[in-house]
Amino acid sequence: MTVGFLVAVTIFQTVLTVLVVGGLFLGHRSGLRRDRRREDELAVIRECVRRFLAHRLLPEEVIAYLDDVALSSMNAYVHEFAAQTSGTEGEEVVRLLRATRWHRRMLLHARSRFWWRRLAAARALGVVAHAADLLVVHRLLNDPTPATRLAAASALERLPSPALAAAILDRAITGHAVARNHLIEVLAASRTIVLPVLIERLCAPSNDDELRVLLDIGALLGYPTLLQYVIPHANSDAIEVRVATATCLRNFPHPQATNALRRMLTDRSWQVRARAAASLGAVGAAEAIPDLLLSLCDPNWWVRLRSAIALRLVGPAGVEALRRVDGRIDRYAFDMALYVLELDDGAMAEYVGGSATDFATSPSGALAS
Amino acid sequence: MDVHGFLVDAIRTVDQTVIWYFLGLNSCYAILIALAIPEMFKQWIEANNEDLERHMRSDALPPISVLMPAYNMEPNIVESVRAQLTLRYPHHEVIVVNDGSKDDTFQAMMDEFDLYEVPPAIPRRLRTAEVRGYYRSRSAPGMLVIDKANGGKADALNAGLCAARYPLVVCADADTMIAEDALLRLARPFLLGDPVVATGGTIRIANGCGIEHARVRTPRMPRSWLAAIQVPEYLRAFLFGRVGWNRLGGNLIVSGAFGLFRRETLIDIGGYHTGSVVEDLDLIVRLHEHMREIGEPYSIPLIPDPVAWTEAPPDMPTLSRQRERWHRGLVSTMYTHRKTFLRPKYGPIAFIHLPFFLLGEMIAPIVELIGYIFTVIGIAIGAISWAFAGIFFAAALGYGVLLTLWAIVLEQATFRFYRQPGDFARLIGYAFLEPFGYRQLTVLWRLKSFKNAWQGKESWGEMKRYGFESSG
Repeated sequence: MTVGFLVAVTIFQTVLTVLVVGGLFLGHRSGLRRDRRREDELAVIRECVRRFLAHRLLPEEVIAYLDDVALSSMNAYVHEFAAQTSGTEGEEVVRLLRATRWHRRMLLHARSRFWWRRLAAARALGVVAHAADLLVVHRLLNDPTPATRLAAASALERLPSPALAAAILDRAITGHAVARNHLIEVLAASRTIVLPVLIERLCAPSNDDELRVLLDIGALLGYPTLLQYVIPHANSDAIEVRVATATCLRNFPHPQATNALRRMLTDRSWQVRARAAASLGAVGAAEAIPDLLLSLCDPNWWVRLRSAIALRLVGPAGVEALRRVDGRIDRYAFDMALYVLELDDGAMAEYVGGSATDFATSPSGALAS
Repeated sequence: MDVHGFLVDAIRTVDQTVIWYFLGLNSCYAILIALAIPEMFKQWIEANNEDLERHMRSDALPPISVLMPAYNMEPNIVESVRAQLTLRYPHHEVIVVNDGSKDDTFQAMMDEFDLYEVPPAIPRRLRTAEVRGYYRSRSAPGMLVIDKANGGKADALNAGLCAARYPLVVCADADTMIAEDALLRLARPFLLGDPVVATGGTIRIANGCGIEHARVRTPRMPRSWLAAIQVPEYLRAFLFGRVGWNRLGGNLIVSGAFGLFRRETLIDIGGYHTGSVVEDLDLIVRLHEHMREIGEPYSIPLIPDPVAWTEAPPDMPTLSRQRERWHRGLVSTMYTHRKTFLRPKYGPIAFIHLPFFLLGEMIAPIVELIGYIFTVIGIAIGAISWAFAGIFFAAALGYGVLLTLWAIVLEQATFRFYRQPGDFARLIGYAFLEPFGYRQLTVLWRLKSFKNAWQGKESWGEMKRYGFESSG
C-alpha cells in the first residue's frame, strides 16, 4: 500500500467529513426553522377553521389560505382535527378540506408509485373520505404496504359501503392475528353496514378460518338478530369453530344462547365443554346450574375448573350448589368445588380475566392439544 | 536480508494488513448505513404520531407483560414501577421480580402498592431459584410482584416469564426509563403483520436529561464528558448498526435493558441462560437458531422510535467493567455457538451475522492493538516515518468518525432528540474526540475480557449507579 493511496483516502474522508458536518449544521438550523414554521402554520389553520365555524370567515377565504399551507402542516392539522372534532361541525370542516388543494394532492398521492405517499393518502381519506372516493379506498385497501391497507380500512367509518365492508372482512380473514383484530374492530364500529354482510357470510362461510373471524365479529356486535346464524355452528365438525361459537355466545345474554351453551356442555371435545362452561359463567346463567353441576364431574380437569368457576360466577345459588357437592359421590368434583370456593376475589379475577393457565389462548391463537 | 530489513518488511506488512482490516471493516459499516437509510425512512414514516392516538383506543393491540427484575433498588423502585404502570398502552401488566434483594425493595413495594399474597396458580415452565411468594396490589390491578431467592437477572426474568399472562413480554431493567409511548411503538410491527419473535427499541443515555417521575421530559447531552462521549457511540450502535441489520435477516442483539419478545417462543427455547454473561446476545442467537430449526418465518427487527433511557456509567471503573463484560459476553457467545458458524441450515445468521461479529467485533481490539504496537515499533526503528503514521491513523480513524457523523445525520433527519444548538454542537464535537484516547481505552477494556473469558469468569463486577443528574 502506498503513501499516495493513504493520502487519497484521507483527503477524500476529510472532504466528505467537512461536507457532512456542514450539512448537519445547516440541516439542524433548517429543521428548527421548519418546526417553527409548522407550529405557526398550525396555529393559523386552527384559527381560520375556528373563525369559519363561527361564520366569521367565508369558505373561499379559508380555502384560499389553506391552499398556501405546506402539505405536512395540513396533514398534521387534519389528524389533530379528526381526534378532536366530530358531528355537524366536523362534517362542515371535512367539506371545507375536500375543497382544498391538499385534498386534490392526496387523491393524486393515492395513485403514487411511492408507498409513503399512498400511506399519507390512506390516512387522509380515513378522515375526509366521501362516497366519490370509494374506488380510491378500494385500491388502497389492496395496497402492497400493510400500513396503507390498515389506514385505508379506517375509511369505512366514513363510507357506508357493504362492498367496502366485505373487502375489509376478506382482509381480516387472511390477515395476521393482530391486524385481523384491528380490522374486526373497524368493522364492528360500522355495525349497521357490516350486519347484512356478516349474516350473508355466516349463512355460507367458505372455510373454517373465515367462520372463526365471522364469529369474532359477531361477538363484538352482539346483535340478538345474529343468534340464529351463530347457534347452528355449535354443531360444526371443526373443534375450533365450536370453541369460537361457545366464546361468541357469551356475548348474548339470551335464553337461546344459554340453551345452546348448555347443550355444548356435553360436546365430545373437552375444549368446547370448558369454553361453554366459561361462557355460561360469564352470562350468569342461573338456569344452567344443574348442567354445570353435572360438568363438575367431567373427566377433564379444565372442564371441572371452568364449571366450578362458572357456578361461583352465577351468584349465591351457584355458590350454594358448590357447597353442597358431596365428596362421597365424586371426590374430584368435591376437590374442585372446594378449591374454587376458597379462591379469593383476586384469584377469581385472574381466572375470569384469562390467565396463562387458560388452555384456550395461546400466542398463535391455536388450541393447545 | 539483514534483521533490520526483515523487521522493516514485517512491520510494514502488518501495518498494511491492519489498515486493510479497518478499511474493510468500516466499509462493512458503510454498507450497514446504506441499508439503514431506507429502513430508518420507512420506520420514521410508519412511526407517524398521527396514528398513535388511534391505536391507543384499539383493543386489537396484543396485551403485553412488562418484566422488571429488581435487585437492591429500594430508593427508586416505587417510582420505576409507577412509571411502568402508567405507560400508554391499552393492555399491559407489570411483573416486578424481587430477586432476593438485601435491602427493603420488597417492603417499599409492599407499603406503596398495598400488596397481598395470591395463590401460586402459575405453571412453572422454567426452572428458577425458589419463589417465596406471588403478590398482587390492591391499588394497582395490573401489577404482580414475585418475591424470590437471588438467582441473577436471567433467573429473575425466567420467573417473570412463567408468571406473565400475556403473549408478549417486554424485558426492562428496573432502572431503565421507558418512554411513555414506547410500548405502542414497539407493537407496531405486530399490527402490520410482521412475523416478529423479538424486537428492540433504541437505548439512549439519560444522564443530563430533564427527568420527572422516572420519565425523560427534555433530552439533553450529559454534562460529564465520559457520559457524553458515549452518546455518539450509542447512536452509531442503534441507528445504523442495528437498523441496518433489519435488512440482512434481523438483529443479533436486542438490548437486555429494553426488548420485546414472544413469550411462548422464549419458553420454547428454555428462557434466559442463567450462566450467560450477556444474556441478551446469547438469547437472540438461540432464538435465531430455534426459528431456523423449526423452519417458521420470523423477524427480529430493531424499531428506532421506541426509546428507553438508561444511565451511562459516568466513571472510568464502572465503564471499564461494563465494556469488559459486554465483550466477554460476545467472546463467550461466539464460543458457545461455534457450531452454528457456516451451517447452511442457519442461513444468514451462520454466514453473515456470526462471522461479522467474530471478525468485525470480537477480534477488532486485538487487531487494533497490534496496529498500535507495530506502528510504535516501526517509528522507533525507523521503518515508518511520522508522516506515514499520521496518515495511517487519519485514514483508519477518520473513517470511523465519518461513520459516527452519518449516525448523527440519521438521527437529525428523523427523530431529532438533541434540538438545543449547544447540545447538537457537543454531540458533533464528541464524535471527533472519540477516536483520541477514549477509543484506545475501550480497546484495553475489551482486551481484558479475553483473559476473563478464558478463566471462565461469570460475574458482572460492581456496577455503580449514581442516579440521574437531572437538568430539568
